[in-house]
Amino acid sequence: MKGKKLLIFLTIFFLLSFFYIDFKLSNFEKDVRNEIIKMRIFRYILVITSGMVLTSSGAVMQILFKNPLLDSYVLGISGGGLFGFILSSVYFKGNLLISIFFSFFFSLLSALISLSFSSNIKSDRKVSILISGLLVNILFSSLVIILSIFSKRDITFLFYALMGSFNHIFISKNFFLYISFFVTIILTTVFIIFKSKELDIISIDEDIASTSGVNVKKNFFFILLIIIYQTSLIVSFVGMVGFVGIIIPNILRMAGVVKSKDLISGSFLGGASLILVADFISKYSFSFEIPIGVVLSLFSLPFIFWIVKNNFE
Amino acid sequence: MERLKNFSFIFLFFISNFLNAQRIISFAPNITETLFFLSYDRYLVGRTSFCNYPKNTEKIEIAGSFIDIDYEKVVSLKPDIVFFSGNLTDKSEKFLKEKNIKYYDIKMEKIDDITKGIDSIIKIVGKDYDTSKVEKIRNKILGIKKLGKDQKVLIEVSEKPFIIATSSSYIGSILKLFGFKIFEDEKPYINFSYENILSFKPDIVIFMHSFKNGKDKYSILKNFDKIKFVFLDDEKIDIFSRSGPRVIDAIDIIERDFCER
Repeated sequence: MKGKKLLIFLTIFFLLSFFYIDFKLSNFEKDVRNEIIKMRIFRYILVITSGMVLTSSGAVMQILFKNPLLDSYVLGISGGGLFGFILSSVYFKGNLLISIFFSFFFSLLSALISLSFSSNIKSDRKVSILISGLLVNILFSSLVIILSIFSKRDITFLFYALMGSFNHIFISKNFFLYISFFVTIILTTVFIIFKSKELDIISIDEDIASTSGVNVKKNFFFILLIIIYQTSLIVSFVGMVGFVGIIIPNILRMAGVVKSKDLISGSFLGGASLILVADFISKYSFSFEIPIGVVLSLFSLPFIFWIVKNNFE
Repeated sequence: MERLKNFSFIFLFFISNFLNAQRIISFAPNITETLFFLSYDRYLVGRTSFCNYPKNTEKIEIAGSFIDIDYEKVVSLKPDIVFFSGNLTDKSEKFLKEKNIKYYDIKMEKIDDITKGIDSIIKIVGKDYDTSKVEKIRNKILGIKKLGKDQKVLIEVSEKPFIIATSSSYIGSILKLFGFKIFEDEKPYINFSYENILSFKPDIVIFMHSFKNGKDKYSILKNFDKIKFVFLDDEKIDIFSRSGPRVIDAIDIIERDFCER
């Protein structure tokens, strides 16, 4: 995406952002307006960061596994992360750092289980990874439900955790932690963009990559580890949000974006915009907030069906 | 001099208390009903979409639903006090602590909790109220007579899944005071089965839902013809599920419709 196109896209994105923060702000009295803007800006940062991470991680996974239907949700990473987060919140009563560590550990575990399941399924690699990811997701979602029942969590918590919500409560004493997480996400994303050349070679053929001096295994697992870290961080704040990582990279490919660097950076903007619109719908379309996953599923399922139809003949 | 100082302090305290009107949000229908009952509705600035009694609640802004709280709305309503009734979640607690808003979870699960709950609300709000109204509730509860004659009552809350209210529920606790025998359990609502129906053998079945064919399943009992089936309409369902000042109506309905004279 270069020049004029990028400028148009950026303009749309900024207009969307302005509309998101400014929506019906005049309805509030002047003295509380600043407080509302502060709440909305925090939420806005969470929304666009999640959109960027989930979409770019989806694009990277699709390159690594050469499968257009993969993202952190489909591979079961989000399910594992959510289970870890809830487990730690039961035993360590809301310590954010410990919760994120648990979320990362179980995300990693779920990814390893998915990979090991898929290697034992005698089928096309594209299909086997999808099936194993689905099984791991079901497993951890069930464990999340059981854990929530045992810990006497209210049913609305479960409802939003399993389908995702950006209605997060930011605590001022955790401000330094939020900044640290945000910085690590930016740094790891920049690192992945630096690795885009290696990703390009891996996406063509692993043998070619090996002969070109690219350590395929090392790069594969290192990048996967970064994606798992980013995903577990997002899951700890917003719960499980699926499909956004599948839609945007595939739209970009349809638009002729091939290079990994362009695909990942294009995913940032596309993912952030899509989630921003979806969150706006989830927040304002009913008298109560509907989970973001519900909005995304309704809009993305026809598109995913189309991808399956064209890739799994 | 010291006297004058003390007097001016007390005077200022009362003046500020008088001028400083409370702003209250209620996140529970029974609390909203109680606030109206105590004439504290003039301080009520927010409610849930579920709070629909008395009719005047419509004028109060909605600050949340049965699923979640509208946090932006809560901030904009600038409440001094937020009330819950057993539905305070970790998330809401985190939010209210962060915003330094006082919150109270007034649990009124059984009939015995009603007057205690009303007393707590009066203490928290700290404003004048009509003492005779509260006394009326106290006397009405104390005046309940054992008219139930050990009849077994089964309270169906939902048909599918088959859930009943036990002696620990609000309606169960009222009926128990009347001398009816209610299915005993620590939990207020539990799953029930056909086997349970056969072993409990109810004399009266109360339906707190609108599925009219619900009574067919009791045909497995030998005394089916003698069972009294009571279908509650929406208004009565609210009366028997919201523990609050409408306990007076609940007691009247039981005396009128359930008890043999």
